[in-house]
Amino acid sequence: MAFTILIVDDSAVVRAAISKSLALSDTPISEVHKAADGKEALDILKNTWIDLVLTDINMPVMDGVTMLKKMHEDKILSEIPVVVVSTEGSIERRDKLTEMGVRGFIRKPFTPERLSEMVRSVMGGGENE
Amino acid sequence: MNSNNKTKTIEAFTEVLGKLAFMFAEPLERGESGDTPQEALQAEVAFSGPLHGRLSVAVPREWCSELAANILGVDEEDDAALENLADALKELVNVSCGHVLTAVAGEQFLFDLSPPQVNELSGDDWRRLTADPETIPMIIDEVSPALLHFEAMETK
Repeated sequence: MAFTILIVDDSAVVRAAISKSLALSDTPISEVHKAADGKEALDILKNTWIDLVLTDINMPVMDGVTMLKKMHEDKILSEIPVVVVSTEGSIERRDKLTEMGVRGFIRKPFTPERLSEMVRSVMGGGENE
Repeated sequence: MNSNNKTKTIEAFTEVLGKLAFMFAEPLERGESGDTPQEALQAEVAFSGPLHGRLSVAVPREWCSELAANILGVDEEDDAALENLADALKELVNVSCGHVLTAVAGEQFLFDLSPPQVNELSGDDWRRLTADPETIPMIIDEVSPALLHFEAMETK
């Protein structure tokens, strides 16, 4: 089964780097969609089937936490697994995000192998850090 | 900046640069400043929390295409690299700030980081920044100068 992934990050460089890492990995990818902030991401999520969201937290317009809250308000969107890809190193933040249902964390800078491993782990079921 | 924070700032930045862009950076001795670029870019992130302040990185403008290319895994002349110079530098300072704060303050504290901003520096701006005692002059891959500037104050 190939996955449709949504990358949410205000940095075009990061969106491209994640996309390239996914393309080079052995993870079966059907489509990759990209958004520059939480608002754009929600617009995509409302109109496109997404299997996994890879998101930053600190973004303008709508940050990742607000986006997660909005996703949880929607019965269908709340079921989509989310992995945070961020500079965040705070235990408190990670704990709060875990309570909100985030399935995994990748701290930047990440290796393509780490990203691929996380995607496989989350899509295969179970939480990971 | 106390010497402990200075050391942690240098270590965090060099680690991030190495993992993000496969480049090696090391601090210069005071008095060694490297070449002054005609055109430079400076990216800055402000942070708030138990400490508040900012981290900035200034580099020659032309080095940013190499940074973008390395992050993206493309040639320096590739359009993707040339179109994302500022964005690559913003990402470097953004990721570096997160790691500097973890090194300086620890994982138990929560910080809010502002979206990174980029501005252009002239040669005179570069020299002024170099003369600032809080600035840490660096050299990247033994060729490109860089200026790190970290300020942090306890939030009362």
